[in-house]
Amino acid sequence: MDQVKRRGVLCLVFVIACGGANGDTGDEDRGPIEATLNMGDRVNWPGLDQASGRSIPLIRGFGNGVPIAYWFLGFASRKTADSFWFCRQSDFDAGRCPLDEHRRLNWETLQGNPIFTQIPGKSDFSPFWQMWRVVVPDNYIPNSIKTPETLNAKKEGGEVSVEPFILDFGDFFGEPAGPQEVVLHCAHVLDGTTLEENGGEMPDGSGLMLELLGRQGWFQEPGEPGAYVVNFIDFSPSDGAFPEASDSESRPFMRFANIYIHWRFCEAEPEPGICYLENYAYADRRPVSERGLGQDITGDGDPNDTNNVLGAVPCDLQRQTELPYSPLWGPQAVKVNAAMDGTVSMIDTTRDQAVSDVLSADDIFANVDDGIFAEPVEMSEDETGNPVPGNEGRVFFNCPNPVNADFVPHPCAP
Amino acid sequence: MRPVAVLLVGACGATDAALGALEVGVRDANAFQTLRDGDILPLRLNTNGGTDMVTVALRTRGADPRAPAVDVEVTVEGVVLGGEITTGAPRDMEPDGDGFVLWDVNLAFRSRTCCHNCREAEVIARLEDASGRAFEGSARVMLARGMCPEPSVCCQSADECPDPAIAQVCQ
Repeated sequence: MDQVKRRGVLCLVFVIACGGANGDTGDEDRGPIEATLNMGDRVNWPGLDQASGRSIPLIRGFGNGVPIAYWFLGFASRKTADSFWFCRQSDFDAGRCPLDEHRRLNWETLQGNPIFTQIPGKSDFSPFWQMWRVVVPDNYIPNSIKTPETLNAKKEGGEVSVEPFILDFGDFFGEPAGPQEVVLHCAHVLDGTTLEENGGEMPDGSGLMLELLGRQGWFQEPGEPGAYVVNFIDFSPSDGAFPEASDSESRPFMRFANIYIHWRFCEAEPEPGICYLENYAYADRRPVSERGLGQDITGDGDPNDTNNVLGAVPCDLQRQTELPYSPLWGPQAVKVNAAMDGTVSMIDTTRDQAVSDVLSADDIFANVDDGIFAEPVEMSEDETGNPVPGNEGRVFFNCPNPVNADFVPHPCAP
Repeated sequence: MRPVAVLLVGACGATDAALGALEVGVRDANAFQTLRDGDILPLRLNTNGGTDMVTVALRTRGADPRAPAVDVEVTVEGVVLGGEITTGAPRDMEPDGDGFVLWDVNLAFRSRTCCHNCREAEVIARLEDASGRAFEGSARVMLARGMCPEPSVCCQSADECPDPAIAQVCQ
């Protein structure tokens, strides 16, 4: 950690947001951010447009030996952006603000809505937020501070204190993390955006999933007065909060985990059935993924089934060589050796999302040992063969997992 | 909210007549290939999740090549279904002997494949260079994942698309 540098970043934010405080009456509420967006701007916000509104698709795969699912929110990167969370001194001192004892945002003690410094479409946007805690006096009127410039003025006037939020993570899945700056997953969405099957059945049949809720925050367009309302999905009840990555530099990086994408090669004998698609991006291979193929190959009426395998799921790191769960996934390509293609059944041959020979990272590496799979390779480009800008050539996706209704992110159930 | 869109509307003296020409094309064997009306623009399907993509390149003449702002939309029957994704800092254009090219502009779709596969689409691109000069161009293309028509790529319901009129519903 480099606290000096971090404070410098905060000061920079305040300097850019020039202007004075807006007095005790509070900053202007400029209404929903959606009113300022044109149709093209909406592309940068997650979800797929349908006649009934925007929905974030639930994609199916496997992890730790069972069917799992994840919401696909699109490309993301390891960088973080700044967010400010308001707490009373007594709540902060008691450790019940901004997070509760389960490392979830504590909406019972938070004072008003947070301030975000970015929105989708800005080049420095990230859905992974460094948390800054703002300690306010007991007579603070929630939501009277909506902008960084007012926050800065109040800080300079000694009315509030603003510091990076530090949390003692202790042992983080075997890593001695200790006190660290905190990264939180809050996905900005357009008003009305829903998570597909939110609160529905867990994909492994273990019960209902925890229903995640939408919240609101503030965003100030630089150079403009007041702040706009932005909607976001609070993933802290399922994701918890994260210590910054151990390779963080001048500001925190988000941690990531592995997702394994399976590929069959069309030179195999007999030719894999998914190879019949012509003019596919790659002539010689196909992903074992309905989303990758754009087609319902299992015949269950949706195009969301895959044989993708997560290296870990929330609160469950079964294979010690894997990275612990993160909603930020770095894909690894798993290539089926053409000569062994017929020896492994996955959803493209079983035609059933519930049935596959490859259900876990352990299965993958057992197949590697048996010569059926090649060693997984980090995917540094997208399907077009083009690196996705902003990630130094690597591809990352924001894909949080649903969890059971009684799940808490900390401490993990034994 | 995109700077280029704001500037195109609000910049002093920025009228349509002042717009420079912008070619919409693709990378072909590392050379810029202009998209002509009716050309097929291959629809790439993301390996992992929910976003379909196409990749284009943009070429101008007389532009300042440093970190231009771009705004690209893809429309089908007037419905905006996709546009460029913003995941990193602006990139510089590169000379190709015939102008300056911004390569590998990834456009993501916010619609299911059955809404835009095998559909005629318009790619509308706007670019503003570092000096503030604006450029605009477009191309009418056929979005295609493979061969068209492809009746197996179909929606279960018309409501799966943002405008039910564009849905290709399973027969």
